[in-house]
Amino acid sequence: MSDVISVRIPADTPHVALLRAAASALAARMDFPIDRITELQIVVDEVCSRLMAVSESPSAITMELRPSEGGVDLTALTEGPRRTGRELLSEWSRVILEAIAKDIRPGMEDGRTSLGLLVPRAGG
Amino acid sequence: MIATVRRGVPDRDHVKELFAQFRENQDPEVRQELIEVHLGLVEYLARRFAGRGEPLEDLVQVATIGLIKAVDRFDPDRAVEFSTYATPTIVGELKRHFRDKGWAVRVPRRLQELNLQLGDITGKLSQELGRTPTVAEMAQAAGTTEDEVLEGLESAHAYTLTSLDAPTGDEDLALRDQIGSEDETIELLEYRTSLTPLLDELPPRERTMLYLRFFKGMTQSEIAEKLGISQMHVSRLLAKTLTTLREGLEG
Repeated sequence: MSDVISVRIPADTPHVALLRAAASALAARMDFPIDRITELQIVVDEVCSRLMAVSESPSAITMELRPSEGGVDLTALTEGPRRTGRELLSEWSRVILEAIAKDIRPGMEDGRTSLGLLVPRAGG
Repeated sequence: MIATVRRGVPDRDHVKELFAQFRENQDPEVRQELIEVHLGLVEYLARRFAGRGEPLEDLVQVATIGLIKAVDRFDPDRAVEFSTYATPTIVGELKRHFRDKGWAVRVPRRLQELNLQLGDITGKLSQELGRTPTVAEMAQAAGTTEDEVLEGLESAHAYTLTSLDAPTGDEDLALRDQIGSEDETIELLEYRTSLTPLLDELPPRERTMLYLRFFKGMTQSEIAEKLGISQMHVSRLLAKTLTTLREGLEG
């Protein structure tokens, strides 16, 4: 499986459900166990929440999902300036994401703020 | 034969012996004794749902049906205590009883039914497979489509059984019995100063769940077994608790 799925939503909390749905459907096709699907949903919520928290009036969030041997690789990004004095990964969000995912990649380049990570099929 | 009872808890060895006998001969008297020695668990769980407009004796009857199902379905070869296995079955029976009153009005009946069904199926399949099932396996077991199962999972994420999830004092006591002490939990989490006031407001069970999942690295199924609830319930509570904390932190 090498198809990349890309979904773009308005940057507000109600629309994050669409990203959860896309991620869940992909993970189901990859035979993720259901507890890991619900944790992928937690990751989507957390990543979007952090992007909205650090971005200055973001208009949209784009999420890319890449199926791989190791699991689902997810990258979400917003465009535009960042709020000052806010870390992309708070201490608590790092705790959550590190417990569920691997290869966490915060990024800031060309006016884009992004957060990527890999959610393995199995985890503990 | 009378079971040794210590603080209302049936003697584990005696229960194991009874299940061994019951599996061998399906003796209705042994079955009856297995039910009777666990009536304390039934009453305890029924009391957790008291005060919500249903007479306690009705709840005890409903919970007893759950206990009987658990006795009949339990596989003593599994490395799990009967009380751990039976608790989600009994609670599931009680929740089913409350389903028309407990769900938020906006959740369609079809999804309520599906979500409850998925909770039951997850427990059953997990025991059969020795691992958490996939969506495809759940769809097959439920006689529905994978899309429907995903819809059910999302409904569990988006909506909660608020009235039924609300903790009671009794539950806090039971939790301490099950995990020994939560001091370690609080110590590890409290150094995160921005979280402290929010964590203080969480019920002990939710706080413990966060600790077990995010600091001890336990899986949802392992947490479910330790706390005597279903994996689906752990999943729902984790999602709800993290949303609460997120909203509080971003506040």
